[in-house]
Amino acid sequence: MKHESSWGMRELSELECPQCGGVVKIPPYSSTIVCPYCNTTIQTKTGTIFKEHYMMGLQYNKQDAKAKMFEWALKQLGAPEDLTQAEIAKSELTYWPFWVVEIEANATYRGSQKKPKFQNKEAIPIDKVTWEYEFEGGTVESTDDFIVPANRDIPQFLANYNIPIRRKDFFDHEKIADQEGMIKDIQVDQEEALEIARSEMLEILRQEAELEVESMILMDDQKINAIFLVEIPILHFEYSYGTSRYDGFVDGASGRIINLDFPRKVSFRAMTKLAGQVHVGVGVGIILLLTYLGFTLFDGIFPTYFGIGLGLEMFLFGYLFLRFSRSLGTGNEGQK
Amino acid sequence: MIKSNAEIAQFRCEKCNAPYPLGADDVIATCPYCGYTFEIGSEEVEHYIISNKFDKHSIIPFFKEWLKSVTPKTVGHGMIKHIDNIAPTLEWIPIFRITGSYTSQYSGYQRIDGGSNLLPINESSAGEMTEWILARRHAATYGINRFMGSLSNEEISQFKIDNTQDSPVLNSEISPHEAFLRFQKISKNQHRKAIDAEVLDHHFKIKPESIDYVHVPYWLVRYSYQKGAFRAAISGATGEVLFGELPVTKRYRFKKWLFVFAIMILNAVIIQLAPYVATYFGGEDGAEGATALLGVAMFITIGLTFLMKNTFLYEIEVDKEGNETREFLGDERVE
Repeated sequence: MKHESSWGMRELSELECPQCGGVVKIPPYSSTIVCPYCNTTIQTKTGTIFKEHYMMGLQYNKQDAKAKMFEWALKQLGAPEDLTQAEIAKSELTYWPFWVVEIEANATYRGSQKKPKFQNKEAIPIDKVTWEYEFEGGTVESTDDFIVPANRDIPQFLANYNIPIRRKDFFDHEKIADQEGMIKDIQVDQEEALEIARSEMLEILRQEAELEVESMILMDDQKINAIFLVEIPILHFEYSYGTSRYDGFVDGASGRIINLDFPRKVSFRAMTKLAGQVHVGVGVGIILLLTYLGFTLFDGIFPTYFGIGLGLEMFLFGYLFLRFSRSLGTGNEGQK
Repeated sequence: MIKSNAEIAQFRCEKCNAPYPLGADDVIATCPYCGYTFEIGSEEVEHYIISNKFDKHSIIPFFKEWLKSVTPKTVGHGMIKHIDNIAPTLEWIPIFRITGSYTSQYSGYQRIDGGSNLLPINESSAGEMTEWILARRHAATYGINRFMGSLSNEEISQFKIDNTQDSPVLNSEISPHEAFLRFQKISKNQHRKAIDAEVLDHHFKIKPESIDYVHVPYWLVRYSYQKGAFRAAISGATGEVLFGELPVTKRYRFKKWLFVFAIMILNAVIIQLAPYVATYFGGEDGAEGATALLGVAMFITIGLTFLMKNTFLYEIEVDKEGNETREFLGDERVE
């Protein structure tokens, strides 16, 4: 089925594969697509072939990844010991695309720095020091890999994840189909990824140069050593424990746990909650009792003020306890 | 659903032909069967080891000794009786030991005589520096930074797989070249940090003299207390406990609570004083005094909320001397 809505749209939503001539549909906002007939990666803007498209091999199957996930969860704060008995309700394999840009940068900087003016090698009193701005320049260099998510709907924890990039294979959509994996649209194009990586590099160099000068201009000389697209297999588990459901994300290539929600031990939670209620109750009790005593037995001032002060603080303590016990409902841990 | 028979890539050792899995980010791999170590897609790599002096049984006294020395200061030594399931595991961590010769030139100033005078500093130095660079992309192992910091001039010897006691040998995820780039940055920063002055200009050059690829023994001791799991990291080279978690006991929590409660009483007394101050001094002076007292009470209350949070901890983290730290327990884990 072709897009018939307008003449312009028709051109945008399909293209002819430069490798095999097959007609390939373009999902909206996609910058790069893979021909379903011949596995060729094509840049939609130019219609040219893009060779540097890789995937990380799936090294952990569902059972391995699940075992790793629960082993990891058990090390977290207040996780119950019988968590390994939890039942997997759903598991999904999704390949998320990332751009990897390796930049080798040599930058020169010029700037100024405020320096104390010394006459000779002797110490001078601090209030007699004159400070002068001195212009200076130098070079800084750095080589780094930058990772830019290629799909814009990526969850934040996945966007921050330091993906594995070393032992990659060429992208093969049949392999993914065999594993019953899903893929995500590649939306960010090469130029945009490069732009993002460049600005991150600039920030690194700027920080380094700022050790030397205060305000500065940076002139870039950046060499792009490599830029490629890599698809990372991410296993998403949904498991149930008690009456609630929790999510876990595991990197199927390295076995790392990326993000995990887990239940907290009920006893610890219950104890915190009870402590909170007791504090709130005692706080309110102190206020009422001492105010009453103050007005009936004394002059209305003592011990009313003392009671209100102590009672409010008890109340605050109780409130913090309750808030903490609520936050214990679901734990969340991820790669930092 | 993912098929359980999904194809898992296996690699075979060039030397002994044994199959073993390579990690997703491995750059230098070691065969777990014969110990053959090579850069992936390239040649064999010279390889060293720092010997491990302990086994699963002999490491435990070091752990217990540490517990005995740090618990009285914190959670109380009574908890030691209730510890069970002490399970030590050994892992070999890949590290590059890099030595380089540097030249350094720096200028700046120093505050002397209690900060009233500035002394100009202009010096140059040269020498040798050795740094241990972790050969992994993620520093995920518990307490690894402390472990790296504990390494000094440990003796290294040729790597032999028989000396690893059948424990996992982690592969390097960075190349020697990348290790050197890290070394350059780290050594410059270390040198700059060590200078006892406000540095304005720093010129630092370092040339590598030797790069050794070394595996170091790292013990992780897991133990449980009232069904909760806790950890401690121990160096296999020295038996020194680098870092560990302690469960928060009732005694510890009560101590913290009592402290908070005492301050709350004190604070309430201050609040109670306010009306008396107002009437005793009378007029404007009295009002000012009362307001000041209430201000102090407010200030203490804000401070109290932080102290109160201390009573909610589930575990605390202490170093080898028993000082509490917050390196791994982020606030988000506490709250």
